[in-house]
Amino acid sequence: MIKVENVSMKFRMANDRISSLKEFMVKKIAGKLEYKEFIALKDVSFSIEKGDVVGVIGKNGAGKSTLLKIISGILSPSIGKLEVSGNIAPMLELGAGFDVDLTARENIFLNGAVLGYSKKYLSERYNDIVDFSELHNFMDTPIRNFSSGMIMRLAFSIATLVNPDILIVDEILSVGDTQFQKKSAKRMRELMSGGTTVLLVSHSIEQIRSMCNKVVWLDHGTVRMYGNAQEVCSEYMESSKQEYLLKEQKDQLVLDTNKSNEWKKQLYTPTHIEKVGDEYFIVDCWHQRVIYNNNLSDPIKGWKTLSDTLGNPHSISSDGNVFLVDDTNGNEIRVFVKNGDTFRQTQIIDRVGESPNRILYDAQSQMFFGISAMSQHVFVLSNNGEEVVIDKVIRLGYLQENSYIRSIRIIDGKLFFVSGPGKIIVADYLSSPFNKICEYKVPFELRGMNDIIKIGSYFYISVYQNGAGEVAPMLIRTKNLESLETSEFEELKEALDLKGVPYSFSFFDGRVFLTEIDTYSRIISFMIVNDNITDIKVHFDMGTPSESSLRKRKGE
Amino acid sequence: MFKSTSFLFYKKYGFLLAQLVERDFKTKYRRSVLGVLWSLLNPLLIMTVQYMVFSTLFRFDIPYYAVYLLSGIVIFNFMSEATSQAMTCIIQNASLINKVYMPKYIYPFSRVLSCGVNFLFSLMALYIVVIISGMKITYHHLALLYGIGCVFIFICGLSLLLSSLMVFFRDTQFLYSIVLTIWTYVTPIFYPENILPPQMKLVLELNPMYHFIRFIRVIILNNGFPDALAWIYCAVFAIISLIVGSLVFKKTQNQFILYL
Repeated sequence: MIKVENVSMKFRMANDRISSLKEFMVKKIAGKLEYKEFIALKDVSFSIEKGDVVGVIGKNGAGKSTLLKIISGILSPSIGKLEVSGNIAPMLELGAGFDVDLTARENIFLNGAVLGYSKKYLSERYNDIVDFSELHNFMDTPIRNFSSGMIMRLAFSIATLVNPDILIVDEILSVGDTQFQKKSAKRMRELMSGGTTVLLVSHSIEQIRSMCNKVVWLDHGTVRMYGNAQEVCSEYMESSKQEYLLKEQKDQLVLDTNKSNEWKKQLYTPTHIEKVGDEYFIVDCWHQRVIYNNNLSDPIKGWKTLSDTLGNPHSISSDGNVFLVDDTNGNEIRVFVKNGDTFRQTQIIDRVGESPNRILYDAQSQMFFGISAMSQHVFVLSNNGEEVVIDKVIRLGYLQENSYIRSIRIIDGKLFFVSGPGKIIVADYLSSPFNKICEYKVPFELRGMNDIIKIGSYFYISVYQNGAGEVAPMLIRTKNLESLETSEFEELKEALDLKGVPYSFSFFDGRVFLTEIDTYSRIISFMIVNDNITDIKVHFDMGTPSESSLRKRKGE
Repeated sequence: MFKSTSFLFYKKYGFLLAQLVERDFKTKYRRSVLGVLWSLLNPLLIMTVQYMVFSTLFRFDIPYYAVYLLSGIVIFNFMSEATSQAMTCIIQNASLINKVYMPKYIYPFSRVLSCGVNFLFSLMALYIVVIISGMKITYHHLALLYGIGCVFIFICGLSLLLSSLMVFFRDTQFLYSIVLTIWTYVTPIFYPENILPPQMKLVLELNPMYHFIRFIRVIILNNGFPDALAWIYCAVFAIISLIVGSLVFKKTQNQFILYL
């Protein structure tokens, strides 16, 4: 029925396709007319008997479609011979030759003619086509007004009308809605079981197994195997499984060598560590994520992710029910609730100013207080049980001096702003307009403060930059804030053996936690007994950022 | 032998050809108010404009100038329209050629046929003018069939050539539009051939369109048969064109798919 003998197909592709006479002449004269040969099929031979249902399998690019095109006469082979007896119905393409300006009726005849049916045959079967497509009411409508589903239905109805000697099928087609898909798949099966010779290309091995009696396995343009469907399919599955495993191994290797996910095991600028209930949270700022775990001593690799789509988050706070994280780059506060073992984002609160940098929960007023570093807005949020709502957003006059305010703290019932324009400002946070109580001037080297806390009789202050904006990490303590102006304070950098920029403080488990960021990422903790620092512990020491972390921060 | 193959061809592809021509025609005039009437009006309007320009400005002394002008326009337009349309047909039908097998000459051939249908309408326009001008229609007009047949074969050959060239060099269409412009001017369509200088004689002799148009004008304007040489000239040009066109097309058609 079909005899393929030593068929090879070569495509000669000019390296850059020449399509103008001038280009051709120029290149020809310059001797630059280069061709690249691409061999799609190499010495393919097999024969198909009448009534065979032959499957063609192989990976993408193995030459399946080229083979079908050669058998259906669209391409003529470079070398070799092809013998075909009987008329071939190609189903390579649905709707070939449709003209959108013509009506459905006109297109049936046009497309039918393109597919090689006679006028008589089409007229006889016209009603069948219309019935099958279920488009009775649209036959006189130009198909430009059809939906793509309708066009496919019409095309399928015409294409499967055939009663050919040889049927060529490139993937079993099922089109339209579910109901029509069932109908079209059934039609295909009827066609293929009617004693016609079928050539079927499919990526579904199951389909091939159940429908074909013979299979051609193409591999890089050559016939790897031809014969009994079951045997060839098993071989093919075995081989692709092995290839898959091999690829898997390779992928693993690639992963290990370029260490693209290395950052996940590390911290880069952990700006905040907090404990809520039994869970510990770390805000991993420059990795754009917040992670959590119920055991502080587990390595970072084992921690779970609260969210990794945050834009430089700086802090997390919770009232025990909702968890609020600032999304500094996104100018938003994200709200999460615990959902069994995981967390679910329930709200995004925007319009809280630019670059919210710190949010904290005040148990006394049962409110969240936050500061937007760039626009100097103070925002107050409350959880009404159903959702977190904005209580107020205020821009305070005494903060407006083009400053970047990193942090707020509630100490002894008062609200402290640091780096609030190069000084410490204290306000009454329970009164509505946040009346300023007093301010403390700080010397040049303390201008870029990160955080302030009070433990025992000391205020502890962490510092990022000096007054010129240069990174100059410091950690100091003083009993009296007024004495800062005259540079009377105690330095703790040596005592704590700090390596990075000290950032924020937290208290839990009876200890003081301090995060170190930027050049060196670390989380340490210590105890303060009678104003003496004791029992210093290093929890996470990430060192200088890795290549992978730097890339992650840049968003690569 | 020839008869049986052509019959087989017609049986197999006649319906397809008819469908393609029908499509061209339907889509051409779809959504236009006058529709198919344009095929009739178009040559008439061009003739009117040119008639006014040339009969008043240049004052050519040609009897029945309107008929002289229109016969030239109709024949030449048939050629230029059909070849230009056929030139791009392989490229435009790329998706079809990639998917369904049918002889590739069907595409240029169907375009030439569609333009042929159009031509028949312009021929009607020509006869309207002939009748209005008060000219007689004699049995000599039967010879027109021969002339038109030759033009048709010539166009088919040229279309095959152009459409295959176009696949490989897309510049063809730009070059050809220039060629057509020059061709219009070296063919005596709106001017009498005797105003051409003697050195242009050879160019005229080698211009197939000149011979075709002259053949037809002799019949319509003089009500007589053209001389024997004219019959031969027409046949020779038609056959040369068809042979060259088919050879080039046949030799290159298997490569089309690689360049589309």
